[in-house]
Amino acid sequence: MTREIFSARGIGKTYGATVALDNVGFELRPGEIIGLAGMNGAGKSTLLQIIAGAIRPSAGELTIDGRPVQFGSTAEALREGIAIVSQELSLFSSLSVEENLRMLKGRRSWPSRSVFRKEARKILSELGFDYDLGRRLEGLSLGERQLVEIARALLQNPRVLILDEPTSSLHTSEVKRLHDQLRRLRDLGVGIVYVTHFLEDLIDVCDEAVVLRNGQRVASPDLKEPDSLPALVAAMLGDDPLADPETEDESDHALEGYSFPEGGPLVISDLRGASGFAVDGLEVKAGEVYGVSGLVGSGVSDLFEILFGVQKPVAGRVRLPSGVPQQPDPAAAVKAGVAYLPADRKTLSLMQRQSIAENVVSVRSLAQGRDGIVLDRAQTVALAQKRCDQLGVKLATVEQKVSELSGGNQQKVVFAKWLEAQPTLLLLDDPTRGIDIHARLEIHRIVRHLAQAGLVVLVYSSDPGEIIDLADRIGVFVDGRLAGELRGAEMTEHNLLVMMNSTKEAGAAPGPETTQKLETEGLP
Amino acid sequence: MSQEAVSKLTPDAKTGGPSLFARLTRFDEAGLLLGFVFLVLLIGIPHPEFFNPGSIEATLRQTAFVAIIAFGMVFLVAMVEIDLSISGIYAVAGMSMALLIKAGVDPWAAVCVALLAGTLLGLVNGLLSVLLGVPLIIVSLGTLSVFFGLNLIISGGLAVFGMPRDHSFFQIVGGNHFGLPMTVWITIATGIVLHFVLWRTRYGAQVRAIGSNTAAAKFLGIKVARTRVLTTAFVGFLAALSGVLTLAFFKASEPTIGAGIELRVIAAVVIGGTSLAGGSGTILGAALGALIITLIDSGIVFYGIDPDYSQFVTGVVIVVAIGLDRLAKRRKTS
Repeated sequence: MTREIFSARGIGKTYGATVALDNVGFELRPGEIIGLAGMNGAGKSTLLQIIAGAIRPSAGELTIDGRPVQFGSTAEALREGIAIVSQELSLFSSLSVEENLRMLKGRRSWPSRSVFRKEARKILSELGFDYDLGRRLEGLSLGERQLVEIARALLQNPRVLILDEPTSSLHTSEVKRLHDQLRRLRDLGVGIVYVTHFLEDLIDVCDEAVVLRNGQRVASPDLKEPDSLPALVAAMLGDDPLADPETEDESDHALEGYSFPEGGPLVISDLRGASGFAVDGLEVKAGEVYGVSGLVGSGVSDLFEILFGVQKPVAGRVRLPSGVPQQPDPAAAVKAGVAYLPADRKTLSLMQRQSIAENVVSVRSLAQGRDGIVLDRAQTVALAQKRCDQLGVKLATVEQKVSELSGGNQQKVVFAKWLEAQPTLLLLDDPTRGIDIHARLEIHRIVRHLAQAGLVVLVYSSDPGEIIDLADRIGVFVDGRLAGELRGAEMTEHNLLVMMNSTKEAGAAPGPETTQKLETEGLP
Repeated sequence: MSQEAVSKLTPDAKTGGPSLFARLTRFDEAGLLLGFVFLVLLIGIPHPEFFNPGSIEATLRQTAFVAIIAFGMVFLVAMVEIDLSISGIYAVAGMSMALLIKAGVDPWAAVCVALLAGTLLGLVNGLLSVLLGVPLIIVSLGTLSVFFGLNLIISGGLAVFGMPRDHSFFQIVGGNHFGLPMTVWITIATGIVLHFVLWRTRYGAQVRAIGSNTAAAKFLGIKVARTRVLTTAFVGFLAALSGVLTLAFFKASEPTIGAGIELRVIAAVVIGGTSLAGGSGTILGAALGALIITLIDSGIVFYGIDPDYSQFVTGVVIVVAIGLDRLAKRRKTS
């Protein structure tokens, strides 16, 4: 057996008391593709960043050709032949494709322009990207940009290529071409580490899987075996599902003083969106928490956007809990009792430079005009203070800037803000993304209280476990259609992942060119 | 997380209230006020005639013409927008009023027409910006030229003289009352009202919310486009008001009147401390900024500086004023 080009041995990484990685190791031989799998927070990103030289491990060593190496930066890792295609695109949108490709950290000298272009064109066309090199990046789709990013890594002739979720914005055909290209590189003797949430891809293209769970490497199934998907999912999740004991009684912030208008059910019939989105016969009762789950482009975002008036449906009927139909814009939707909490708190939810108090009253006084034309500052502050106390926002004063709060407290301010709007329908898009476990449990409690108070709650989460925790039942979207529902005991992460991953046999006709993938990060 | 939040406690929240001195230096416009006093002394000590009533009156009147537009510009800058065409609106308003009076229209009626015209021109700016999806600064770069061109067309390139100076309009609006020009009283009143509007009303809060985070404002359900159009129309009104007040005092209008006033207005707003990042604004600061700009002009006159140097000096003083103000703010926040 050939000797490995790269190995990681006993890698550990701790942040204070938190153990991100514990004694993780693997070997990569030339011409091998290893799939790295794990749930969010399992330690995948930390491991990749260590390999790419972005962060230093607390323990363990990396070797190249059996020789121990230490990377002080990603540029050093590049010089050793390790190239990474990262999840966060690191391209310059106002530069051309060629200019972007030329910006390589590791490479010091370049062949002549014509040789470079020839090389670049060859790699791009192998990836199926047939555009002019002079085109500016801002005119390209996210998927095309991802191909440029991949091409940039390939141009460095890496010996070890790391791909961190490279297919999240790619079409099926693009994914297929990328896989062909990976196999070609493999045959040339490149070692590849492939990270993806799309488990079918992983099984399709990888020789071996490395599965991380809670920072440790766990046994993984043989990918060559037929039907290894369920075994892989089981390995990622572990035997015992993460038990978070619901301590309902501890510091229970009852939502006293909040009064909500009586709302009916949310009824959707024969709703169609522009991108092939279709939902028929969905009814969510007042007081019910309905989980929505699905893959990239599966329709969850279409559903939220239509309900909030951002997207116009092509056809169909919606009856919002307040009794009115779908609204044409967010301003009208807010008046009709729809509250939307986007995943992107920083840019879409909060006015970071304004005070907590101003944020709390923003919807009721600015959008709904419930406080009249002249705003009473003392009343605003008193109201904000009361709401923050009720929701357990930890703050110094409600007049401090909201940006000074931690993520969990910021999200509670977002809840306070929307509750002041007296909604009857709550759309939660990844409500606890990037929030610590304690604040997360508090937010879950708030959501349950709101449901008990008679609101209709729709929740999406990048963490399937969270949807299961919160939801009374879960609708799974496949290819823009509501493919099935899970209720009661059926609501397990295993069933959810399998159903999201279930392709055409789920009965839904797939739309053209839609990627059929498992994506657990970001609203699909 | 609680520790983090508690450490952000402001000093006065702990001690129960800052000292008078602390309160004075924490006052946002304190640096500006110092700069203003410094300039006054710099001019007034060697040239005591600067303190003559006539001189003070002239300084305040000149300030008022800039300040009244600057108050509106504070709202725009707080929304991360800038209107460059205000000088065109200022000119058109004054000129159209002068021409109407010449044509025999009663000055009180002519004022209403001029103010309405200014508001409409502002509305055009706002609508173009919103409908084309282009920042106001770009739209107004074009409309600045359009409005000035309009002014040349309606005036035929000629100055207009011979206003009925005994008419009640020119007596009341162009005259002095309680020791100060009416223009100054109107400016002060407008400033007080707009300060209140910016900080205490729903509309003001909407303006600041949009400037702070436009995307979030849309997701709150604020009607962003409508607020933008409303504000540009309102700034058009203020520019016209300034043009009308100018005519009331000078009792004449010329085709090139107001050229360059937009830069003085923007300078007043920026010197005043309104952040170009948006989300906030200060009317008092804009007033002080306008005063400082006028004082620089006066200083150049009193010191008998070669007119060739005056623009250069004005520029240097503006840059120094902004620098000092930011330094003071940085020290305060650190």
